Amino acid sequence: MTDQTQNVKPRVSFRRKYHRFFKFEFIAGIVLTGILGALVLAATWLFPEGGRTVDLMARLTPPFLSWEHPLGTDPLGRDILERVILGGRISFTVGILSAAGAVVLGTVIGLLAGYYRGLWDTLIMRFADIQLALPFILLAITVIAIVGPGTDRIIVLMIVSQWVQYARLVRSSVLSLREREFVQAARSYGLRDRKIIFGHILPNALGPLIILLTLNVANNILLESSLTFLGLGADPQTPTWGGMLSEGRNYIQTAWWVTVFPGVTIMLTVLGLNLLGDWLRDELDPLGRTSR
Amino acid sequence: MTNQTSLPTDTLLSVQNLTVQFGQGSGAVKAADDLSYTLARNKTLAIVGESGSGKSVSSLAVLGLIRHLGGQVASGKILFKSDVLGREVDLCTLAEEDMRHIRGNEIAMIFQEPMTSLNPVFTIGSQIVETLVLHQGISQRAARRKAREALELVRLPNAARMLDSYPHQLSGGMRQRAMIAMALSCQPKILIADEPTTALDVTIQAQILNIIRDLQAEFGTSVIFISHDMGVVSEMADDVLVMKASKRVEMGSAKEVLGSPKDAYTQALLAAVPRIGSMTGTSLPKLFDIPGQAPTEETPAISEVDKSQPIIEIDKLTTRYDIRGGLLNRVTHRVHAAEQVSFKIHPGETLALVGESGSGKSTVGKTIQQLVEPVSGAVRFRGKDIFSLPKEERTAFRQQSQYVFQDPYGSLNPRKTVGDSILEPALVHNIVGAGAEGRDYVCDLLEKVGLSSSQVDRYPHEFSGGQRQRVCIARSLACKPSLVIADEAVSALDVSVQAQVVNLLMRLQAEEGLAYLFITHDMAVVERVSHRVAVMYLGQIVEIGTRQQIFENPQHPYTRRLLAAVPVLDPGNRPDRKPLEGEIPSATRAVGDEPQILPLEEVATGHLVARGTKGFDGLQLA
Repeated sequence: MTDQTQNVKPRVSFRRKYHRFFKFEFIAGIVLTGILGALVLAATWLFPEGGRTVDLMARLTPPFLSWEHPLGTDPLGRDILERVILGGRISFTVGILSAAGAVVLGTVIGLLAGYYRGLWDTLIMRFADIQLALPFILLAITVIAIVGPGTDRIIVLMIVSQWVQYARLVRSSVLSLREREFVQAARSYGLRDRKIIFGHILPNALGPLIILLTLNVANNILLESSLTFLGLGADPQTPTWGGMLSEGRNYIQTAWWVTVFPGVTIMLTVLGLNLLGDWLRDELDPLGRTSR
Repeated sequence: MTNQTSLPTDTLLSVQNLTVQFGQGSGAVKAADDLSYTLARNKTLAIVGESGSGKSVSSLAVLGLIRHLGGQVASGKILFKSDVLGREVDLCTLAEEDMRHIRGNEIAMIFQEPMTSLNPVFTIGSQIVETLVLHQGISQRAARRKAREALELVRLPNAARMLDSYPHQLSGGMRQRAMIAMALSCQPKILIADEPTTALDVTIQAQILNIIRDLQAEFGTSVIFISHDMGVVSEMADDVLVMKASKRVEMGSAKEVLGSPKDAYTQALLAAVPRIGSMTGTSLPKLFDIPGQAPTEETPAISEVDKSQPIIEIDKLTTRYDIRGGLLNRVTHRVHAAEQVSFKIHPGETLALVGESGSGKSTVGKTIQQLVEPVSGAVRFRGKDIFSLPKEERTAFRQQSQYVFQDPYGSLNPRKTVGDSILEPALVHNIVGAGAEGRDYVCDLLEKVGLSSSQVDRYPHEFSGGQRQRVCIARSLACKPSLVIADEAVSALDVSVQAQVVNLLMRLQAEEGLAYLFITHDMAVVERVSHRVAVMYLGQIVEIGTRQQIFENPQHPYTRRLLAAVPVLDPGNRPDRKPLEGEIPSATRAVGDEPQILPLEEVATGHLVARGTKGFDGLQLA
């Protein structure tokens, strides 16, 4: 283990310098989410009418027949491509914001409860048990009945009901990590608790967290659709991926494209996010990363 | 070795040109490379080597477990005379069906970790009975009777009750005896013991080794004994096989190999082994001689101890852990980990705190480091009691003492570069700033502990165990402490690495005038490094004095017992010691049941001995 390369800066090729980005997971993930994200961001500008143009003459046009409706139309003659892209606005927002909110809230609570233990830990975890036992739909119907429907409320509801999973997951990792010697060592030289928790414990608890996060984004996109289906979410006129799935259900035998295209879009989004999640998890773990 | 097909009569097992590899193609790693040895009837063959030398792999090949682990036998033969199959077989090519008759029946194995090698959800009895019923085809009732006999053979008290006990109800030593009972229940012809006593205390180790020896004499079993501990090997082995980097280095009788080794590697290995009693007559610590490194050249003189003012003074320190139970979660029991412990350490001095697991020696260290709160007592740094200070002022004293942990794999954050890990304590105490200044500081530290400054951006997994321990030492030096607490800091390392790390610690002590609290169970290392020694037993110091006083004139019966139990590297001579009977009692007591404090009596200047052996019931000492 002798190195003489002390002050000599080796010339590194572009590819070598950015080697961590030359991975299948990253490239495929960034291409998928990037294209979808860009389309969704541009949606309002691309389709100012908001996908509400009804053309009953052209109802249930099959896909790939005309430039006017490349992915066909739905039972009201609305363009599927247009609605898929517009639908991403709500689905993306709900899926990502709700998961992000829940992961932040749950992680912080889980870290603190697991590190400090004691009475607060017991209280929070018992509360979490109750929360887990409460069916989400029941909670959603009750709350929406009181405060009225809306996308923002759905996001809040999802955060409130889902932080528990993250808190539980993180807490269980923390319980074993806090006994590890490197945490003891950090305490022994007087590092502040805040730095121990966020600098030493959190990075070691990230792996399973990222997996759960990517799974939850997908679930929340679907959950939003069931809430919309029940009339608790966005206005039914506004296109969402979940809403399109449930509308198309009745026509699946005769017009597959009404359900298949939003379905494929959800699948591609989730796949992209999962690939990025896998890549991120590997990058954060020095063991999984090939050095140099 | 000739490729004969039939074994000589007194040879039971013959491994011929065995090559085992893991992985495929160019990435294949040879775990055993052209290895050959023979095992004679009723003899013990010891396989020694450092970690990663492939000593375990060859025995796993004998049991046919290589494929299960994802490797393969690339070439070679393992010939074995099987009575069950009634013929001589090659264990490498034997059908799995036949192998099952041999495994556990004719060839049995004991593993290192008694904690994990018994299934926690079954009773000891049912696990032994299972083996017996499977291999010997006897009834449950007969098997149970045999199981009980086996437990009696390994001298487990109350064998009948033990049959219905679960593994967690037994101590480590008892579990290892239960493992031996299970391995021997079918009266195998070969017993493979893979580091069977490494996880155990010395007195318990002596007990287990004694049992293995007695049973071998009784049943005529051949033993393959895998160990890294030369002392244990010297006590157990008839023949010794030395391995290095998957290859055989040397093989011969124990007397030849350990007494007058021919190979340079064996010589180096033996030179690094600390031998108890080798320091008789000297009062100062001494560096290890490491072959290849000139010992005289720049060996710094071991510094004299400055006796004017102690750096740290521990006064009647008592630390207890509460155990809660019952419906109301009240404190029902307390672990009396440290009871009225008092000692001083001067600058440049090493105090060794020795004792067996559960004696409370780590608790004392952790209390000084403020990782645990004491119940009563004082810890004075240069005369200032830290536990009487408010919490905010106390943290500043964490700079004064630094802790080095046992496990170099666990005590570094795997997700931080070693540079960041070393720098962190210095940042906490504002010794250096971040950025270039901090980086230079870390590079200096790395070079001081014998690593290269170009390794600063590497992650812990890119280092070996010994290098990681050097990183931990560098980290402990980062905030310029006056006391370093080394908690079993060299116990997990191979002997040659251990010698280097111990030398590093002593060199740093001479350079920086550091005081060490050296917590360990290894008496041989203690003899090398320490100026003074304190012996702990059940949370109390039973004897404290200079190294010479403790090692040359031990007064307390427990100290004597501890010293006698250390395996001695003296090939050809087996020790004549009475094994310890019974179990070490527990330090857990019901609330209100306070242990009696043994008063310390001065028998010579600075040599204090606990009067009486009260509280030592259950353990026959004298």
